[in-house]
Amino acid sequence: MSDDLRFAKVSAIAALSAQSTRLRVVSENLANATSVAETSGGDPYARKTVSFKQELDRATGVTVVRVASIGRDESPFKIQHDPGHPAADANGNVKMPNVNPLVEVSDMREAHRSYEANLQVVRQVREMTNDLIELLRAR
Amino acid sequence: MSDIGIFTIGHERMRWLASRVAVVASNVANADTPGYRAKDIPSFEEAVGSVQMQMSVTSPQHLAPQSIGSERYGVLVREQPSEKHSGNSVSLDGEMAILGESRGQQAAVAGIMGSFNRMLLSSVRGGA
Repeated sequence: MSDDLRFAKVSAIAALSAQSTRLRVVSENLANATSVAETSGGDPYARKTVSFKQELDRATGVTVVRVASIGRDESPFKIQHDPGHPAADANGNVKMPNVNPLVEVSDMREAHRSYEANLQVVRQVREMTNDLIELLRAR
Repeated sequence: MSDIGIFTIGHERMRWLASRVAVVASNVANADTPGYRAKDIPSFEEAVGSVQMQMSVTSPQHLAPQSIGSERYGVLVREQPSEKHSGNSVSLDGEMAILGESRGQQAAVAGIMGSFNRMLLSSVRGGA
């Protein structure tokens, strides 16, 4: 197989794993959209963010994409008035996670689109390699 | 057969297409990397006229020259504006279009080379 085709596959596969990490973070956020503190007045689940960076893969010498860090969204928590709630503070307010399902779902769609695009690259590299091998077949 | 040079030019075209697919793969992979600019390689007409010299690795401490398609043709940043807040200039649709185009061109070159190969073989076999 041509070296460049192999590089193409390596970088597409690295991107697949980066995008699946992103999908995992999105699903953690969605799953914890209503996870509040156990103690009264405590902080609830903080939305997680994911960011990518380029990195040299030493085994192949290809610059691939990796997950740079999984961070915390520092935006303020939503306050909900619910005096009967076990996590409510002295004023009867409960801090809800700063997760917006709409944002998470659109992020999920975007991750899916990128994943599909990378999968298409892998598929195409395989087809091109098959074409090359087909040349060897004497008819 | 060598005076036609069909295999030489076909081989060069195949290498160029493979390099282009590698660069596109890197663009697609970095479609969500902040600050990444979409890359490309010179057109085949330009590339075939000026194949670049390669730096040699004379010590194990030398890093390999920058990868993906750059060894032979050199990588250039594509002149297209970034429409994303993160400064990333990759357009997934554009990359997929190039990918499909490369696929078709590669199939065409493979077809031509294959038929010349069959011609050669049939002359070896005496037209049987």
